[in-house]
This record gives sequence, C-alpha cells and structure tokens, in this order.
Amino acid sequence: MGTFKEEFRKYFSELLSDLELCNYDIVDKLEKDIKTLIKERKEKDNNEEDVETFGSIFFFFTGEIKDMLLDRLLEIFKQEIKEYDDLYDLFFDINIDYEDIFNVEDTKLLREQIIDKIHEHEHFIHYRDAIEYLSEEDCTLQDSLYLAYEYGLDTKDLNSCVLANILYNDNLLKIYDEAEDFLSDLLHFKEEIVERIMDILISSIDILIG
Amino acid sequence: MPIMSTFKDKFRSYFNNLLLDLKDVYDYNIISRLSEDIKPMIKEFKEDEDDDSRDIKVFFEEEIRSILLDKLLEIFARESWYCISLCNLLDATDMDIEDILNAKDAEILMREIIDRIFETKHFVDDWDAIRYLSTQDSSLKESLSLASDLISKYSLDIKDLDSCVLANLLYIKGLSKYYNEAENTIRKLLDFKEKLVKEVMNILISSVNSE
Repeated sequence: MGTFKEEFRKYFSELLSDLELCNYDIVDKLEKDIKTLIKERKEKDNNEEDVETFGSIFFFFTGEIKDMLLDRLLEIFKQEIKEYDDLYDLFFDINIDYEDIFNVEDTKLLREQIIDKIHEHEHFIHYRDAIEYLSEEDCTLQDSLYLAYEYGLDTKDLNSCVLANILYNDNLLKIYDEAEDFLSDLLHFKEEIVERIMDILISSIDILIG
Repeated sequence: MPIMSTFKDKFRSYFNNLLLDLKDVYDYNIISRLSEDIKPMIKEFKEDEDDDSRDIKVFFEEEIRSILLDKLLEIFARESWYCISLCNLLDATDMDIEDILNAKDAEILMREIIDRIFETKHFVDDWDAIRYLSTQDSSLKESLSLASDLISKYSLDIKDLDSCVLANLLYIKGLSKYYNEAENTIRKLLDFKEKLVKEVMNILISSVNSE
C-alpha cells in the first residue's frame, strides 16, 4: 500500500498529461477527484499509522506538486513558442531564455527587458553582410535612414552595420509587438491555472488532516 | 592636268607622308622638316604658273588643316587609350575625344567637364544605386561622409538621403578623381594641338606670302 504522497504524485502526473493551453478542464477534474482521494485516504488511515501532518502535506503541495505543474506548463510554453516561428527566431536572435520569460511576474517589466535586449542586439558585424541585408530589405535606404534620424543619430555615427542593425532590430520590435498578446495569454494562463490548482489543493488539506 | 591640281596632289601626298612620322603628342619634328621642304615646292609651283596665292592659302587652311586635325584625332584617340581615367571621364560625361580635339580653349573645356560631372545623375534606380554602393562602399562610410557635407551645406537631415543620393555622391567623387588624373593629359593634348597646328599653318601661309 503506497502513501498518500505517492498515490497523489501518480494521480497528478496523469492529470497533467491532459493539460492543454487555455484549457481549465483539469481544474474541474481535480476539484472533483480530490474529495474521493481524501475519502479513500481517510479510510485507509484509520487502519494505518502513517497519518500525514498538515505541514507535511502543505509543503508537498506547494513544493513538489507545484513544481510538477510548473514543469508541465514550461513544457507547453516552449512548445507553443516553437510553433510561433517569428517569436522563436526572435528569442533565438536576442538570446533569451524561455525560463526567464516563463518566470516573469510583471508583463510590463518583460516588455522593457525584451526591448532593451533588442536594442542591444548586434546582428550584423560585417559590412558585407550588412549591405546585403540592406539591399534586400531597404534598397532605397530610406527606412533605415529614417529610423536613424528618429534615434537622433548623425552621419558620423552611421555605417552599413549600424543601419542594418537598426532596421533588423526594428523588425524584431514589430515581431514582438505582434506576439505580445500571445505571450500575455500564455503567462496569464500559467498564473491562473497555478492559482486555481493551488487553491483547491490547499483548501483540501484541512479535510484530509481533520 | 592643271598646275594647281598637280601641286595640290603633290603636296597632299607629301603632307600625308610627312604625317606618317608624327607618332605621338610630344613629336614636333615634322615642323622643321616641313619648314625645309615647303620653300622649294612653292617656288617650283610659282615658276610654272601664274601665282594664285589665295587659292593655295585656302587649300592649306582648309584641306591641309583638316588632314592635320584628322591625324591629331588619331593620335589623341591612341593617347586616350593609355589614360584609363580619361576614357572613364569621357564615357561618364558623355563626351568623346573629338570634343577635346575641337575645344577652342582648355579652360572652357575643363569648366564644361566639371559642369557635366556635377550635373550627372547617374543613379536613378534604387536597386542600381544600392548595388553600386555595395561594391564600392560596403561600409557606406565614404558616401555618408560625402553626404555629411551636403547635409550641412543645404541644412538637410539624414532622413532626406537615400541610396540614389549616396551612390551619385560617390560616383561624382569617382569622376572627380578621374578628372584630377586626366586633367594633365587633356591639357597636354590641347597644348600640343594648338602649338602644332599653329606652327604648321604659320609655315604654310608664310611660305606662300614670302615666295
């Protein structure tokens, strides 16, 4: 006969395999199942001596179980970003770690961080590559020169690498702007599902122990 | 055959042979030879027939001068092949070696070339312009530096620039380089033409007047 933690770990792992983005079905399922699990557990506990304490269960739910949930969410998060080609390339270009984004608590701060990273990013370091990019993307040079003007740059500050990087990074900013709602939805889903699941689990501890 | 026609044929033939020895733009040897040879020919002509100096003068000033200029054109064309900058300059300013040969004055010609250089809008297509920039100035540093002067001179902003402006500035600078390299050659050619034609015509006309 396994302990409650072992049994719950197994149950929760199976539950997480059904987790999908923006789908809260597992919350409802957990809410329904947790009562049955507790009832079965209490019946077993009457015959055994390994009764769990409140603290032990609390730390189990808020530690190990929460980590399992976050790991599964991170997996989904990575998968979703990989399927969003432009965003995937953007994060690859500016060398952003998915976990840093996943763990962010303030989306405004995330925006600032990403924009800073984009502005710092130097994609072109060779003139030959830079002029090739400009030839393909801005053969009049008007877009890149206009952006340079908006950034307050002067001719002495400019060369083909600077212009190409300005234009390239402007495209990255556009990609980020387009993807920002998608990212916010991902982070919102993470926040809400973690909150709802932890609420259900923590409120069940009293029933389990009492 | 009339004496005049015989003389013209004879002199034409002599002069063409003389010009065979005119090899390059520094060669004034034909002047001394002509100077020696012309007197007996004129004398002989005048002994044989009534003097018709006006007809001879017209013959020298028109036909012989024209033969000399044709020969000079040939020499100028050959010289221009040795001066790549001159070839490039003529090509870019839509001029040819005949324009140099026919120039009345070196200063006016040089002014005309400069005007044509600065009127040049070689690049009007963005794609051609960026291709030119990518081969001649891939860093864009040189063209942007040239644009910097333009910006301060006409109170412009960098947003007023584009690839055609940058390419044309660079192209004009290239032409200016050709101009500087070719200027000496052009002046030498014109100087040679002026001196040679003047000397030859002087010898011919004065020979008619004196004999």
